[in-house]
Amino acid sequence: MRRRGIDLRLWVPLGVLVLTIVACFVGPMLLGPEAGQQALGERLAPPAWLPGAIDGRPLGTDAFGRDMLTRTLEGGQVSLQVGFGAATGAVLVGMVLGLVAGYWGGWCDRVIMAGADIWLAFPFLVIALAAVAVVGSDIPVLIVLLTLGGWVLPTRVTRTIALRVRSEDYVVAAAGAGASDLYLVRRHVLPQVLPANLVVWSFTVGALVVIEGALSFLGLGVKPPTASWGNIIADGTPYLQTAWWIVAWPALMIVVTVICANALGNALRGRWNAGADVIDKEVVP
Amino acid sequence: MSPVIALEGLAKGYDIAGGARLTAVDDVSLTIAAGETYALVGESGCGKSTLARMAAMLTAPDAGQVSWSGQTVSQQRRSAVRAVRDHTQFVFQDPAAALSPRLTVEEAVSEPLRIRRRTGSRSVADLLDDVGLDRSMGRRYPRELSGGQRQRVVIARALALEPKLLVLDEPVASLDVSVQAQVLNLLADLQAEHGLAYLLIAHDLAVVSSVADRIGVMYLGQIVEEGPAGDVVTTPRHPYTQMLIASVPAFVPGERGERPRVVGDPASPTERRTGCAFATRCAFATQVCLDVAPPRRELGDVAVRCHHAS
Repeated sequence: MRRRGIDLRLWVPLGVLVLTIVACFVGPMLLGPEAGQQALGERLAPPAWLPGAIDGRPLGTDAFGRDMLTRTLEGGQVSLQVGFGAATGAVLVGMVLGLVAGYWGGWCDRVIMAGADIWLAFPFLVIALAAVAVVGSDIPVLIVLLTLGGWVLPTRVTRTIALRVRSEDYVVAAAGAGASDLYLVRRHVLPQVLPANLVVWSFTVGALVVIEGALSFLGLGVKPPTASWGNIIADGTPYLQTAWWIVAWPALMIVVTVICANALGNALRGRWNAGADVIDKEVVP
Repeated sequence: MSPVIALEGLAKGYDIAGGARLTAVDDVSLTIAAGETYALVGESGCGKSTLARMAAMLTAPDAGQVSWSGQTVSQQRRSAVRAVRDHTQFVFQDPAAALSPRLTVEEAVSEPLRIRRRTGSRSVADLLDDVGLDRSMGRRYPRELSGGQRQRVVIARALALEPKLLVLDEPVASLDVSVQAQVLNLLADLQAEHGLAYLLIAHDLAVVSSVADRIGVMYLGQIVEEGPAGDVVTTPRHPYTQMLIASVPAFVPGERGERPRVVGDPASPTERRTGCAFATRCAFATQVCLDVAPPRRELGDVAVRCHHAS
């Protein structure tokens, strides 16, 4: 049964995510370059509603006197680019590997699935640390790195669905009419794999935004003064007792982004039944 | 003229859990002439579905040959088989599973034509007419149809490539009894109209005795008796066939003659055996049955694998 009207469980998280993205990429332009500059006379000013607040700095300032609103939005640019970019990369890689493993099976399947198991056995942060030490930590590097951190889930989901669809009678019938593998994958397997992977993509965005935050917090993310939510939090921790707002705003943004990404994933899963059981089995909440 | 399909010495086994090997089909040969209905009956698990899939080249045989109208299609490259697949089409047991929930009736029926890029040939409307469905059904999805309608759609799709042989895997087993007769009648009409040959898989002798020209009785992967439908049904030679016939309910109680009752379960298809596969359940089994596998013997029009049949 399809419900009439607007599905709030879908549109609220989607709306908040879109709003966050727009704010992060457009907001700093509207605020002007001045707000992001260091101003040592304006260090550690509190948010607007607390005594000692500075005009034009609604969310306070950090230890260098930079506007926290601007910093938080700018930090979001990096975190969201890396999070969304790497989730997209992970799902694309996962769909290709999952289709190869699930549809063609045989030794391809064994190699890919063994690779996934082995990959999960490695401590990802240690690999990330080594990789960043060798090749640096630009945004493209981080996207590739986190793609590697997220490919296993979409691979497994895609493989399971492909394996199941491949042996459905209607797919056998198409093969029996002379359809090529390419036709079967494109017309029958892919349409069932795509919705499930959009759900996985949504969950993966949430997971990777957290991982990007962790990497930046450990100093493995983009280099200061470029902001990201993780390194703002790292910079703010020494001041947690006196200037909580430095840590609070980026942390809040991470929480909101992750909750919305997961809620979006849940809503999409509810909307498309295809593969929902597979996702439930593979995603351990 | 070469038969529409000739199977020679087909065998298929599967490795199953625990390292055992299940012999699904063991040295089966049969031929079907143009326009003929060959019915294959047997209990669940006797290998008839595996045989059907091999006949339609949906499953590759381990050994033996499949020839379509004289052309050997087993041991061929997949692309070569693909090019001649029009010859034999498959009708599935469960029409709900055989239709994609994402395709409308029209898309499903025309899919083989699109696959073969034969859009110019038979139209979907003609095909729906053939199977007695209204053209307006074309825009519906399978979930909006009844079981009988779905099976008609599956049959229409199988006819789209104008095959010479339809392999029907228990085509009415999942339908209501009232609909079963309709679909069987439809199949008879289509056969008369298009000169189709049928390989009809069934587990119900009552269903096939009225529509088949020839009947093959399968037990544990082998055809134990084969012959003209009338002969097999009225004078069964093999004890297993006799058992199956005895299990068909008689119209008039008391008309049912004294025949061996169905006893026991089939031997496990994973066990290696010597002698006759049916010996463990057979009332007439003697020492030779346990020691020597019975060869195929011709008794008039009927062929039997039994030491004692006469």
